[in-house]
Amino acid sequence: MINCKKYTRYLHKSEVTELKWYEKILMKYHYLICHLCKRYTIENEHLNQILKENKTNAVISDEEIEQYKDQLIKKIQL
Amino acid sequence: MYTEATIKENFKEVIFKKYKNFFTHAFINVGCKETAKDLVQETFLTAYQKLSHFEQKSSLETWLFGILNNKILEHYRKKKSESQRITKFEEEEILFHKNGRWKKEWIIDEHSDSEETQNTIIKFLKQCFSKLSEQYQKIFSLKFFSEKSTNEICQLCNVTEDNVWQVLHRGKLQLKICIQSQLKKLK
Repeated sequence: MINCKKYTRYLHKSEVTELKWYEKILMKYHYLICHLCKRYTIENEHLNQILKENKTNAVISDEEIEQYKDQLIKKIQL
Repeated sequence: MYTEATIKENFKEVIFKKYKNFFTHAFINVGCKETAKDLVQETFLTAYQKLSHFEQKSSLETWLFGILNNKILEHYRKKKSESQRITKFEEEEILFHKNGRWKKEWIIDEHSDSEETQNTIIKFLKQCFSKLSEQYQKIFSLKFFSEKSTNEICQLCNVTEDNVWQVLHRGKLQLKICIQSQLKKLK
């Protein structure tokens, strides 16, 4: 049996590498009995989706881009 | 063949119209806003100083992208990534009880799936993402923005597979803590 902490570790690890067979079983079993981890799994899926869809928009705004552009123009003295 | 004055005019136009493309390209390769900004800035500065070397065999934009790619490679060569093994996850102490169960206050309830909440989460994500360390931002962007494989991430960042999932694990928990703390302040 694993707890929620271990479950989240396996969940995140499974996004990077293939889990061992027993890790998969432990994860599945915990998922079946834990509603909090079911909820977190959905939340994690949402986060992955948002990160993928928003790409650079997730980290930079158009205003910032304009600011960077102005700084560059000033530096080059165009 | 263009005159020097025309090339300078084109150069200015590329900055105005294509800056975001250059920034995005740099960002998905290095994963850090500040570094990406610096690399793009260096690219344009270097190019401007060497404008006379532009042979006009390709478009100005292609030539500039070539310089940017060299800058990115140079950046990776210079930078020796931190590859120390992470053993203690402080974020877990905040989110989980000692017995490893979730602390209920950190689980987002089902009513938060509304469009309004989702938009707020996206807004906070932007702020919270910039608070992650440079190394974390780099690994996250390689994984989610440029969708690189784990092997490629390991090579580019000079880390092991274990390091990658641990960064992903800690980073996601840090984002969760940061986003939810902001949401709590709104209530």
